[in-house]
Amino acid sequence: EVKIALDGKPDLEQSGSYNWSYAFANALTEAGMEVREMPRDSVGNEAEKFDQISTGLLEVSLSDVRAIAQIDPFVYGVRLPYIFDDAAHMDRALAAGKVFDRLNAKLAAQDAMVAAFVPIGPSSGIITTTKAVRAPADMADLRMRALDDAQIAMYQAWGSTGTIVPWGEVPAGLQTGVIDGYLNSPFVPVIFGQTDFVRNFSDAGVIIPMRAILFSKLWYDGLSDDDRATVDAAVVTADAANRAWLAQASESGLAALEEKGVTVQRLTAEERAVFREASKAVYDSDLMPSEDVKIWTELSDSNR
Amino acid sequence: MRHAIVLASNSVHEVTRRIAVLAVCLMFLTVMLQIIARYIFSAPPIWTEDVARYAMVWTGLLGATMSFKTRSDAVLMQSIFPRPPHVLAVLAEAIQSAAVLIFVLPVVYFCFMGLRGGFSKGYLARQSGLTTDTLGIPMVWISVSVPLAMLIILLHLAARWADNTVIESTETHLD
Amino acid sequence: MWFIPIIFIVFLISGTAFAYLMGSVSVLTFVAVGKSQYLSIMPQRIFAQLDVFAFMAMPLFILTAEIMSRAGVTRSLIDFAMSVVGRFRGGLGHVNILTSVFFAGISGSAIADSAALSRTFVPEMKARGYDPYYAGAITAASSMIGPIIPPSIIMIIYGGLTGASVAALFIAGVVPGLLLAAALMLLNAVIANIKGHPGGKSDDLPKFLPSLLHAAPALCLPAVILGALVFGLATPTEGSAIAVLVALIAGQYYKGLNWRMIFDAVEATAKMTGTIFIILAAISVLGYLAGQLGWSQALANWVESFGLTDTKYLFFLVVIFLIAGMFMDTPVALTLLIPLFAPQALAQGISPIHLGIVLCFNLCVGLITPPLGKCLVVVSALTNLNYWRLAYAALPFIAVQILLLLALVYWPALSLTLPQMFGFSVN
Ligand code: NA
Ligand code: NA
Repeated sequence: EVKIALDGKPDLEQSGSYNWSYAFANALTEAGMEVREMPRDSVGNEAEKFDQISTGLLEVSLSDVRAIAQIDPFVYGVRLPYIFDDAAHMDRALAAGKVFDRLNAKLAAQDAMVAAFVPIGPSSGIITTTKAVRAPADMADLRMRALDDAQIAMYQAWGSTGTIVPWGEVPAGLQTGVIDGYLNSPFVPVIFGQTDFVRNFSDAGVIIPMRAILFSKLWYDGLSDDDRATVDAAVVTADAANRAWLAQASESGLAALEEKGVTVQRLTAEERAVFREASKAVYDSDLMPSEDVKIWTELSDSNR
Repeated sequence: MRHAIVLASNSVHEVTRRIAVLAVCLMFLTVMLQIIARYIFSAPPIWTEDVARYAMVWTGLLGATMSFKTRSDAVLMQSIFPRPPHVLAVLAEAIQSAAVLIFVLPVVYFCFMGLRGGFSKGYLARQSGLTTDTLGIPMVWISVSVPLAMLIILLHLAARWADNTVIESTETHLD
Repeated sequence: MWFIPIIFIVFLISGTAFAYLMGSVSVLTFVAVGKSQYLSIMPQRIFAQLDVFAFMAMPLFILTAEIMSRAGVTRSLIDFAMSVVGRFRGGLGHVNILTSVFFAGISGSAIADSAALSRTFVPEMKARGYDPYYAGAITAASSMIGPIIPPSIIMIIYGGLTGASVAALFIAGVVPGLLLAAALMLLNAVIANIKGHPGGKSDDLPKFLPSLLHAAPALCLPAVILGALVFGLATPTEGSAIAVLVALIAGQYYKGLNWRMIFDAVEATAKMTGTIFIILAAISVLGYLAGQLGWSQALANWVESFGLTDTKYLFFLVVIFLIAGMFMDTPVALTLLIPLFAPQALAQGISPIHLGIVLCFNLCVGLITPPLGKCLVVVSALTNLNYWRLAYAALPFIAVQILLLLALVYWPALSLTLPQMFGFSVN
């Protein structure tokens, strides 16, 4: 039995990771393998999912990228702002840099392996309450919700300010004015019912929000050659299904926002380039060694 | 032997009390630091929350051993067996001890042993390959609180049997 | 499988602590169903379920109450309540209730309230001509305000188990807590008029302003906590640290602190946190078992078969939680039942904040309902009143609490309006 630990609601319309999982599960089922979806939290939180992948009690997990970073911070490259133009660019760079091989060499010590990186939604934009943003300069007097130190540094590089607020406190923070906005995928304000007070979305395409698909190495290595071929093919099928969904979600995400009365700023390539240039200042942080940053920058540039 | 177990249990309890008190103080101080840093220097250090949370985990797990040692654990139903020195009281005590062992022993075992691969794949060994998000220290320094607390509870349990003096329950009020 | 219930009962009647009872039965069940390999998740599971952001507020709020009660703050709260409502008919009854409102602002626990107040109020009310059982009953009943008005230990536990915002829960508890106080005062006034209870003469009452000033440090604590939460200036954890700071200052102001006193307060805090944590640890294993064996799903299907939705489902939960509250400690019932029943309620679109307030209130009613009304037990033990006669005297108060509970179920706005006003998402 192949147990797949989900990362959220099984929603084919709004979840990119569920589109991946659904296609993957179908491909395995068609080949005669038994699959069981484990609802979010039924196996536990991120740390528990990773531990069960390690012990072989869980076969497949839709995990946070951070799960890999606690073994090899190199993976944080996929979260550098503006490192990839789109998912296709990411796929080319990952393949050219043999990134999966590199990460899996490290993950082997924990009996885990990464099979895919899966965008969960369209690229993150700037979500604000009052101010419409088309350039970093528009954010000068905004205080943005930051996820971590790296994001604070990014806002500072844009000439704005960031403050760390846990996700649960974000709606209250937006309404009381403790923060003026945050960075996320266009679906997020709709899913979390924030469109009453979130008034603007700027399609800045900062990072691709994504999950890492983790496999239990004990399980994968223990498969028969036929079954392993089936699993490998299912990964390819699932990746394709996810990218197909992403292509149409990129537009429907913006349309969903507009339907709720949120003003969407569609930025031109030149306008995005201004953000990209401003962001380069923060690539060197203590999240990742600078030689790793260099590898990522070169991979990105040579595969653009 | 009996005397040594009781002595060990009591000494460990004394040390545990002090470390737990320090953990609560550490928690208080880091959260205060976080507030001060945010409002006075407007630069919140990201590690304060993790330190405070790990101090809380240490507090709670060491506190669990203190609760066990002082018989303060919440009880669903008082024993229907007669009170000591009646011989049936020993039976009730034995049944309670069995429950403690059944819960605690698998936790201790799997902290050190893995499902496959024995000692090198136990929980602590797995954790030693991971680092904390913001502190950069190995996770194992924090997760070791789980087996440590469980081992201390086992020691206190042994001391209950080694010690002949009867201690009445002093259940903590939680509501 | 058949022997599991028997072992459960044997452990239960031997007086096994709840945590070890649930933990050992879960372990045995894993073995009995042939899934013993899953026991290897236990260390990680226990750690992960304790390493929860929301629980951080718990130790420091417990510490606040420990310091405050050691500093002798209770007397000043009673004096101030006396100066406000002492003059009315049934005055000491009102004072008893109002003191619990003030006490609620520094303590998250009902037991602490009834323990602190019963030895003062019951003899004093008896001396002034009240039936001691009435005095005991009103002390126990009003102590329930403690965990409803913030801070609240059980709401922190609920928040940690469900992921609901503790800040929103705290703010949502204010109105139901004050309504409870008002309802109890109304009942006290009615009974006082029927039975001809005395009221205080204005010359033997403490003066308003001096007693207010003396109670001020304790009274401003809830204001500081709530203010910080409402205006988004602090998280509940930060609020709890500020509360400790205020308690230290207030303690110095009242009695003068010394290191021994602080050490004792901190040690008691660690032990109480530990008592809760070992329960959470055991329940985390049970929760994993329920997930692996599909119990949660089976329970969900069973409940679904009644076809109950929304408010009807909530009323159904009220009945279950009322019965559970009669037999179990509040945190014990909460940790056991929330993982089982909350997911379906939330899936039906019931607000997690509304659900939290209703269920916490619900379980607190159990604190004064026999057979195991924990607050009745405490009052009875500290005042030598007969437990069952005390329970009988508490019946009118239980009735009022159940009516208010039903009102809370029926009108979510009673809980949700305040947090919504301050921008908290309640969905
Ligand atoms: Na309270
Ligand atoms: Na009272």
